[in-house]
Amino acid sequence: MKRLSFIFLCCFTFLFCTLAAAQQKQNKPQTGPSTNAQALPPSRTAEGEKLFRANCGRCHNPPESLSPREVRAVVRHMRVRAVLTDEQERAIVKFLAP
Amino acid sequence: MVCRVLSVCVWCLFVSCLVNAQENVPIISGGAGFFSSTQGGTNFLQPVLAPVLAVPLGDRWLIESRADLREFYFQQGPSGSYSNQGFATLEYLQLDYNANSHLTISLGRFLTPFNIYNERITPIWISKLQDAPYAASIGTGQGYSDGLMLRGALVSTHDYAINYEAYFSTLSTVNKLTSERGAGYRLSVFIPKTRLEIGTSYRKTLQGTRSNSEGVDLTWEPYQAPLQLRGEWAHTDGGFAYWIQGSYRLSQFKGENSAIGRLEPVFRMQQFFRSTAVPNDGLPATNAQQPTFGLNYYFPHEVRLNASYGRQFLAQTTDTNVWDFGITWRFLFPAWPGSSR
Repeated sequence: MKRLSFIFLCCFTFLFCTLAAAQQKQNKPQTGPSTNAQALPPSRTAEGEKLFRANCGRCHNPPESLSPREVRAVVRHMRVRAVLTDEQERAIVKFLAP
Repeated sequence: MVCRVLSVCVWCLFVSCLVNAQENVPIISGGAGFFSSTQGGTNFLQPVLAPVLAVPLGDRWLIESRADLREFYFQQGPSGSYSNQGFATLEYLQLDYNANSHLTISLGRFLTPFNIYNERITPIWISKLQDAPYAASIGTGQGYSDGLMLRGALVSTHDYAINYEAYFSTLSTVNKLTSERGAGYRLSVFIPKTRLEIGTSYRKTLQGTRSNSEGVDLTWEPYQAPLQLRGEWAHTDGGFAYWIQGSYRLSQFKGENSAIGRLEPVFRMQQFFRSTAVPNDGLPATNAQQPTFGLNYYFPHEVRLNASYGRQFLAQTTDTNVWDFGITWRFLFPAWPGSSR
């Protein structure tokens, strides 16, 4: 019974989040890193992009789309994993969500 | 216990919502996949869901967690019927405090930082080959630790960075939260200009036979080519193992979004040399070696297909073929809807 409850809870949470994301995507600008890099002057994005490639990009590709609301949590998570400094965290946030 | 953990997660989400509804939006990320494996004619099937939760609290705190939910279908012999068993694993649930550029304090359950495989390559949407190498069982204490970890950059300049991770793990026999009592560290040097990293790890298990484990890891991803080279060497009381893996995405042919540019051949060679019989250490009972050839294909929308063939050579046992095939999907979205600004 407990197992069933657990599976049900997981399915419900997953379904809820999927629906929430679907609703969110209606207004969500598709701001992947490459788009951001084109939109900003090279001087502002160069450092962040370089740091992203040097640290985060070593293990995985950047997400295809990333809204500004998600960036802070993503980079905070990466800061712990990739041992980023304060300055590096700020530069990558600027690069991903100018 | 699992319900309690989930309740804590929901509570954390609620609190973070109150703290800052727009800037610190929690995210749900992770991967879903389906894997099949045929080893010596016997089939194994695994649907997997591996969600990651990241909840930033203010400017310096973060709660992060990853679970692994999988159903394991296994065949009773090459022509037998299938049985199944479910596994729900809480891989990490940690509270991080970014004190400054040189120190992050993590409390809770975390991935044991020994060499690079356990912390960086285990996510199903990152690993380029389905099976873990032999060396992944050395020095990680079942992979998870319950306790305290300190990590950060001792020195970080444009030319190089010296990073450290040090931890203490307590003995836990709580269901789904088991860990071994032990302590260890990893120290690494990273050169950003060449993306070359060399690390060394040590772990002392503070229970049972109180074994020592030592390891060295190397990672190199040159900017000039989509090449990735990784390797590890690890030694423990039961023996030592190494693996070296190279992958090359063919994006230099017509770009990374072309049909051929989405292909990525992978090769891994690994060996294990048994010195002393140690029961339940997660390593082969005898000397073993396995070359593996793989091919990944990256579809749009974070979907990836991977296939591989390996030949496992075990001393005193029949050699076996290992065929793997899988599909993974990486997802990421905010934990609740809201404005895009």
